[in-house]
Amino acid sequence: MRPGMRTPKMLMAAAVLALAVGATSARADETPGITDSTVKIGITGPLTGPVAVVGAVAEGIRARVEAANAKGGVKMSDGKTRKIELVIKDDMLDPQRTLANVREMVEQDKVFALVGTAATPNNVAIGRYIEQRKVPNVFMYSGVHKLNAPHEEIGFVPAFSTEATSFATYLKDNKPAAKVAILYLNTETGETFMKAFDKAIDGSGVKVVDRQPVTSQDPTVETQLTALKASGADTLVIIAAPQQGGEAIRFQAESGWKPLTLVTNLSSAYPILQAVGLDHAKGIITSNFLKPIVSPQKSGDAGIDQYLDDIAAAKVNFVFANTIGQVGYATGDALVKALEEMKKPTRAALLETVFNFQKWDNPLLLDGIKLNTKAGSDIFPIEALQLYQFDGQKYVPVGKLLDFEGKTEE
Amino acid sequence: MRNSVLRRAATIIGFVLVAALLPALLSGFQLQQVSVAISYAIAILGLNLLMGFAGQICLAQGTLFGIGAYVTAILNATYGSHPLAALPAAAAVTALAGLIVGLPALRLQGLQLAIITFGVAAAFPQLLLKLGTWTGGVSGLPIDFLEPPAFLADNSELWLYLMTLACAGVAAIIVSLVLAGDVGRALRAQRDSSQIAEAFGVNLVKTKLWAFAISSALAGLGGGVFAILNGFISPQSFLAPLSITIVIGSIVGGSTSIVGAFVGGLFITFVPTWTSNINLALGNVIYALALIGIMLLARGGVAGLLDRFTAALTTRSNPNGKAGQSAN
Amino acid sequence: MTLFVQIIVSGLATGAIYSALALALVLIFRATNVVNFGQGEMATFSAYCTWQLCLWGLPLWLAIAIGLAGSFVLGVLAFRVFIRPLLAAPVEATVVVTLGMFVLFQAMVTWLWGAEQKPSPSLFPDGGFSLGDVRILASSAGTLLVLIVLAAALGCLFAFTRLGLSMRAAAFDRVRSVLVGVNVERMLMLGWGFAAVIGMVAAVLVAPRLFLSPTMMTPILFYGLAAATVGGWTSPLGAVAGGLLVGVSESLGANYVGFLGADMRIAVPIVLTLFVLLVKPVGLFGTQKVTKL
Repeated sequence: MRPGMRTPKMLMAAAVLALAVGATSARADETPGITDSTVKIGITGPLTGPVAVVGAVAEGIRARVEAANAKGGVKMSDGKTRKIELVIKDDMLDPQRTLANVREMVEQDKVFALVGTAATPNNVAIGRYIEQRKVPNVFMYSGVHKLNAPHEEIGFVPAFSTEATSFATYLKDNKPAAKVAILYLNTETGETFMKAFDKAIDGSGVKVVDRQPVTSQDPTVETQLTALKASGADTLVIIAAPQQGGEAIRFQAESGWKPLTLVTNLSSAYPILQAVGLDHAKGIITSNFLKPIVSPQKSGDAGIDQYLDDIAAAKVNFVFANTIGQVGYATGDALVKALEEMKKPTRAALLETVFNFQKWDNPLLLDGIKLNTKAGSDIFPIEALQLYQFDGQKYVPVGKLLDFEGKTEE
Repeated sequence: MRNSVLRRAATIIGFVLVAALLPALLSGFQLQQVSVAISYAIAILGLNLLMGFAGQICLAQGTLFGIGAYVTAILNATYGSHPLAALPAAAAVTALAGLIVGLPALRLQGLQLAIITFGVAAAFPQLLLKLGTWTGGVSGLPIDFLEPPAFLADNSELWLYLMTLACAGVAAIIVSLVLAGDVGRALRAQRDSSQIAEAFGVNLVKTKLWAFAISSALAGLGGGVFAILNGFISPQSFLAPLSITIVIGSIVGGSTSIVGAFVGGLFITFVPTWTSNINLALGNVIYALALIGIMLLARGGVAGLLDRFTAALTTRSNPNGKAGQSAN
Repeated sequence: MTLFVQIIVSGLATGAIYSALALALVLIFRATNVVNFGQGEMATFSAYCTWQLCLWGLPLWLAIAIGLAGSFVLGVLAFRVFIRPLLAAPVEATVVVTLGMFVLFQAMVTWLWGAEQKPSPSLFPDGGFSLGDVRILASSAGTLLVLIVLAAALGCLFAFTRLGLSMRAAAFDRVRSVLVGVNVERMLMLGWGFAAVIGMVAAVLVAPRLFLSPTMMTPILFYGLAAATVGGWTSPLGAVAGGLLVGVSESLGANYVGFLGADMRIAVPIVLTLFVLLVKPVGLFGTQKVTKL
């Protein structure tokens, strides 16, 4: 027998007693996290665990922010120059830990805003809290943009539906009778993508003949691809996390199938193709909104060269060609710019700024792609994509920039 | 006898003091984390009954915890039930699920049972996605905010903490009663030797299934509390490693102890965060070393150490040698 | 019919990966009576070291040779530092320590090399060959061949050599083994070293297929455990056979059992393992009922 049987009553009594002693509630300050010389920004993302690759977003942001700090800081509209102080926390992509991290950062570290919070369920998990506390959650790393804190949150990367539409457009133009097999991530990502894809091919000669689900925990994808191959499809669309996406790219080549293969930019980064074997990846089509960075040498493009300098100075833990890290850097740049542009050093002013981007440049976005939003009508900063085909050595642009400005499906 | 009464009193007083002081010492955020830790502790209490006292390994306690969370969320989000009213249902449904998971235990033991239950834990997130029409798939389910009563209106964390403590108290009472009664004696008897237990008339089938049902009910209760505390759940919070983490919590705390369950819950909630705060890149390395270090120092878990400590305080002589066992 | 055969072949290819981990798990169990949950992560660490040596310009065979030697030392060290102090402790303590090793090695790999996938050099040629309409990948066939040879060799080691007998004795009953003159600690140490070597071989075989990443072995841990259980924890060849059986049944289940599909195919190995345990608790090729964790 253990003690503890009679404890609950006592616990209650004692806790009520403690209450009488008086725990106070913190009231939200007008502008927490901002002083005359610093502004504190919080990031939470999976730095460890099975999807630690996504942690490169935080690293990329850090690289851009450290570059800004090295120049003295961000010059804001009230005339003061502030250094950005980053608080980075690891959530292993567990929404519960994301919420705990955000609460810790907001209540204990007193951050001014959150940036680059990764993944859809994780942003949903913190939605109620940030809405209640009025904490800006800017440039979420999520392809689903409209979540449950519409006043405090804004995404960054194009919606999955944008990429789906671009793939469908390509097929309708170039392979109008395509029989498509789809390997899809069985999460919101895959569902959003397929819904938009189905809608875009509706009424055309492009038909989906088979679909197989994949999860980011699947050890191999042979089973699914064997079935897809047997479906008689001549076109393969891969929507999968990097590991499974890479395995699928290799399978379609090694198995002798070699359909026309379209891969979402989740798993088409150059380092993944290197792991797959460049030969196997020859001919695949993907989309990107970032400038292709193929070499660590200076390219003459000011944005890319700056990026290469900054990630070297910050000693980031990803290679230069990692597109997730590049998205992080682009996000960091948008953050710096938003802090510079906002009219007052308050949370409300930051939100007003990010909801009203007016064709802002970004060092890593393709020429012709600008950050553009409008409060109330357009919550998607990036809505254009360029299709690329891999020629065995590098990505070659296919067709013109596809601009869906103002037309993104929610 | 006198010693054990003294020790029991010391433990209760210590417990009450800590539980009462926490709200005064901690910030709202920290108190919320303590509540989350206690919700895990409720599940660990169940596992301790099953593993520590009944000798059955279950690597699906995180899954049962998740079932409790989902039942609470579905009842609340889909059927509009009050979150607190959903908790008993969560415990009951999870107990049923636990009976199914426990069925193989009638024939399997140890490693065999561990592997089968681990398989269940690995399959669970997939099942949640597959049953998307009920579970909301990867987008998860929201749970209504638990409105505090008027006198706690501006301190919802304290209200949630009290609610969690009350549930943990109920769980601790259940475990104590079970252990003191016939079922508890039967459990320990079959753990030590199933043949002898059977010879003395213990019904092994009934005993084992009881152990699974009670342990799972507590996991479900803990999961329901967890769902209420977080206000949102999705499959990503109930992956297979959660079950392993709960086992770690149980053993680190001390799997034959009620206090140990709370120590374990606090350990698995706070230590990974602390180590990650010490050094972001090396956080898990430090965590792993801490975990290994604790096991090397305290083989019977932290509760075993605490117990030896209180024993030393109250008896001053003849400290009970066998750490883990003496915590009963 | 072609599809059916192709599904079996792809099941064998996947099964070979499970077999590799199962073999390492079985070896350490046979030699030390412990299930090392950190086995796969230790192996991943060794594979990364080998990859790093290749990157520094060493030829593949030399890098692998150094990697194998290093793995042996790593296994011995893990035993001396983490396991030996707990030989007299309750088994739960050992379980938690192996789980701790799981976290430790994964964290070290992430810290040292980052989370990105790395292209891992393959021992086998790229591509594959066709038998009729059925496509077989060279790397899968090669992996399988190496595993079978290795398992047979290990089986012989345990069955016919004095060293194997001593190792089995030390694992089976530490106290009485001492009485008959077996140096138990040395045998356990050797067991950990050998198991780490086999683990490393497994990792090097599967790394080109799964890509080298810190969590490469994590999703297959359950499959490895299931494979070892199906084959029998005492038989190296059984582990390989178990892995193949798990792979093939999973592949068939995903394709022919409609309500499962590819996303719930993990149910197949669970049911298969349960079935085998109920019908033949020692596993298909095992000789000794294993209940200890």
